[in-house]
Amino acid sequence: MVELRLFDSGIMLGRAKMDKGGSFDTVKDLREVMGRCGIERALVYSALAKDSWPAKGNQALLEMIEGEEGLYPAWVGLPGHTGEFPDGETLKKQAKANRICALRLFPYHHTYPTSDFCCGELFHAMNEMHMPVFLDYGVEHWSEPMPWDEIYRLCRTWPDIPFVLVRVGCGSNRPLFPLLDQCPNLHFEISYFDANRGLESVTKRFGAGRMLFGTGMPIYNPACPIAMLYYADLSDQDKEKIAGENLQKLIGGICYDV
Amino acid sequence: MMYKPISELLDTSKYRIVDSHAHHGLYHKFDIQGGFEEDLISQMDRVGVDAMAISPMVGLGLDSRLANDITAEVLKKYPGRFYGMALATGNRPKEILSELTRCFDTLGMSFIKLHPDESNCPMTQKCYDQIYDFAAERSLAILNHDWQSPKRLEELAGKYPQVRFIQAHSGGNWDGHREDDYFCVARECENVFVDICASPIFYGALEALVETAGADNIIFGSDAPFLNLAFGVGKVLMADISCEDKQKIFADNFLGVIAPHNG
Repeated sequence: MVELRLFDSGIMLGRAKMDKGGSFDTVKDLREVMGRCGIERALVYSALAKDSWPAKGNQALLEMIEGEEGLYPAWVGLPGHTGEFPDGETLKKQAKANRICALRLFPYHHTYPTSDFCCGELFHAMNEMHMPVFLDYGVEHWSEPMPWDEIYRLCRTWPDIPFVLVRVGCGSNRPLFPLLDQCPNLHFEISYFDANRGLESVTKRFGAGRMLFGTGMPIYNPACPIAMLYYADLSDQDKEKIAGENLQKLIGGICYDV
Repeated sequence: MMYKPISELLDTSKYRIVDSHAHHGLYHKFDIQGGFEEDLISQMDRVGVDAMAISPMVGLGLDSRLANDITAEVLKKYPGRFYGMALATGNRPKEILSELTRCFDTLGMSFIKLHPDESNCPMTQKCYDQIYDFAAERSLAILNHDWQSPKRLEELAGKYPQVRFIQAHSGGNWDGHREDDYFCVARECENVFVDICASPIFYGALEALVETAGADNIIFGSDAPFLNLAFGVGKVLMADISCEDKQKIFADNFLGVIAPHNG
């Protein structure tokens, strides 16, 4: 069994609600668990930004991880019409200045539609930057539906955004396979993709380039996706792609100068 | 601080692993790649699982006789690698006793599996009494998705001390925080157990469950091929609990539960 270079595509950092799972109140807390789980790098977002105050939380995240090797910032995003979040042009400048590596959206948790009238300006800016956009619909259980039609529309409307679906569950193959087939900019993280032969069947059909390793910490148990990836019936090269190379490639594709 | 390599943490060769809660075949609500016995054997060999208890998904409410026949074929085909769960669906109450008798007298099943939700037959129905009586007469274990309430489970455990009662999924779906009286029943009644078979698995929950319910009362299950086998095994392998407790959870507790018929 080869040791994989794990790059977690989504860890929440900062004091969390703790109603489910745990909390990484500090970078030290996070580092200890990353070390124990063999996770070298992580794309992190702010608990404060997600559950209360995006602008303050995103800024606090930058301060928490400043100078911390292997931790990369993902901002929690909102549409910019209300003043809670920067408009598209301002966001592009801030993303460049702070080397933001992804935008993470919670359309259900934050109660807004991703329709063009609401999020078009935001997506236009992200499309120009080729900024990875994580779509987190707060799925806890596979029986909860994803808005597959809207995901398809987003991918087709904004072809230069690498969209990353969060918490894709075991019951997703029927809509997921045609989406991956028809939307080359669609990716998903595997923290909850606990389907029988899931990693193998996606790799066989679409290659290993569309899946990103993720744990969903500190809410969810990192051991599950780690064991699933390590024990997958895939080549070491394909495992390395999923483990971290795919995410590195997406981050490397961001155009900060637009 | 030096950490153990992940490959060492994930080494299953140190443990005997028997999966107490798995299935066979396909499911109507979503696609399952593989899922039949050859695939299950392949996954077990890859991950390091010695044996697996199965109930075919076609029997979860639809056709328990067909499912039991399939299980019996698999048991014959791969001796020692599978345990059979006898399915008796509550939506055909007249068939229950004859089917259970067939399962244990001729098909070689090891314990009973109930799924009231898929059977559309809630646990308040009287037809379940004949199942408890049958299990008590033969000193069997019953795995069930829904015992109605912790209080009801406690009553049953007291009324049928010969029967071992397993609460499916509750130890796995648990968020690690909220109070759950099923765990108290498992700790207090020596014939009650919880399985950790689940899909959403929360950070730190298994460690908290060991503290709450006790490692002696927790049973490993994966729900494969409904879910991914390695996904389920990983949560025990990497848990911050002792190797002794891991071995109890992985196999020893379950083998004790079904021991009267498989020891």
